Amino acid sequence: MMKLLTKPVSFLSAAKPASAAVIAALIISGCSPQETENMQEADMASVSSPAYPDWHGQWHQANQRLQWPTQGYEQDGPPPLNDEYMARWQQVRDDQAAGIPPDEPTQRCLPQGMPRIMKAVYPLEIIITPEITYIYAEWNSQFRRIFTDGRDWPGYILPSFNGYSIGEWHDEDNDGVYDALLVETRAIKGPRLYDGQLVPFHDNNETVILEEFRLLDDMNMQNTITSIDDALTEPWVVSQYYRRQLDDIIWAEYACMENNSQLKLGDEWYFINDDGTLDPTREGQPRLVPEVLD
Amino acid sequence: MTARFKNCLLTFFVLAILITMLITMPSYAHHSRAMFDDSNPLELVGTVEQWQFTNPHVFIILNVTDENGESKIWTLEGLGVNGLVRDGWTPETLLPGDKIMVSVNPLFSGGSGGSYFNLRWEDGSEINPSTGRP
Repeated sequence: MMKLLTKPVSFLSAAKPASAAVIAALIISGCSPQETENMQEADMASVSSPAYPDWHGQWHQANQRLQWPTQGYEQDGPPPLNDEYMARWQQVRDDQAAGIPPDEPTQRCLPQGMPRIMKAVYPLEIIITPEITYIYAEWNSQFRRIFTDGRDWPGYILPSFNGYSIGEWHDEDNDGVYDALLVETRAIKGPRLYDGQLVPFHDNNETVILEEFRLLDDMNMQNTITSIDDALTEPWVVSQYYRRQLDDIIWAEYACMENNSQLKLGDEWYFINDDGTLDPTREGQPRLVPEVLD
Repeated sequence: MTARFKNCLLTFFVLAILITMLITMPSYAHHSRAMFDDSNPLELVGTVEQWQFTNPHVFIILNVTDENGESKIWTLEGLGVNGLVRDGWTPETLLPGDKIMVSVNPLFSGGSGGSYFNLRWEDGSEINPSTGRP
């Protein structure tokens, strides 16, 4: 399986030891304090790291990819699923067209996981620190941590729905400010789907997700998302766009179990009425009335 | 008015209604809409028992009296709080006792539940949270 970032190296962490080594060499060589100071300043300027970008604000889904009727990444072309998973996907869609609700993890209030969280159905916030970039997703009120401190992959990673992410900042136009964040995410737990179009991942949950975040202008961002998964015949590359809001920002809590009307019993979905009775969601299902209500 | 012009007008209005329905249909992120009959919407007029401003969906618990005088409680699912609050909706936008009219995509199973859209006051006027209650 292709992995593009096998050992991320942070520009920041690489710069510090180099600078210290130069200063130590200057002192040992007998330069005067003033000379040392001047050279130190010159050295610091030559090796100083680019500044971090200003990506604050509230980032909204810009290309409306999860409105109803649900639209997914397959708008950019069919997902390159292998025959087995293409057949599975077709079956799920056929069932849905026949009125049979799919086994949609978010319907059970499970986190949407990577990369679906990055569809930004509800907005995102990006909080940049030198060591970690946090992405807060309002859907399910959850954080992603993208480690940018130069660490290597741990020997063991406990799988999680959003996975374990390591990132690298790049100053692609050499203007002294980072403008691209490249991220690799592994150890992603299932069950997951790409989006409401129900495109599946492989059951082995060995998905690797690569992301490239770049500002298109001050108010718009592109995230190029590459999914590498054993259900695919080739990496699936899609783009998600975000639009920035800077004024009158509202953040709202999202607690999915607060009032979820969807209940799965066995293989069947039921709709919970306000009186606690369970309505079938398709023809032929029995209407269930909990004993406590009899 | 020629027959051709009348046909054009009719086509225009049908298309306008369909487009309006699509625009006002709820966007869904949390679960599939397979359980709702989007092809056969109902129009309900009733009295709000509860306006549950909750996630993953808001709910209107609506008391609807039919032509025989029998009342039935409908559980009507809407969008999520996070989208609605940005459009000005609050837990006080609807209050118990409010008379409303609403379009509903009912459960396929025939139960008294569904997904609502196109929420209006009983007289058909738009419920606009930014302008306050009438």
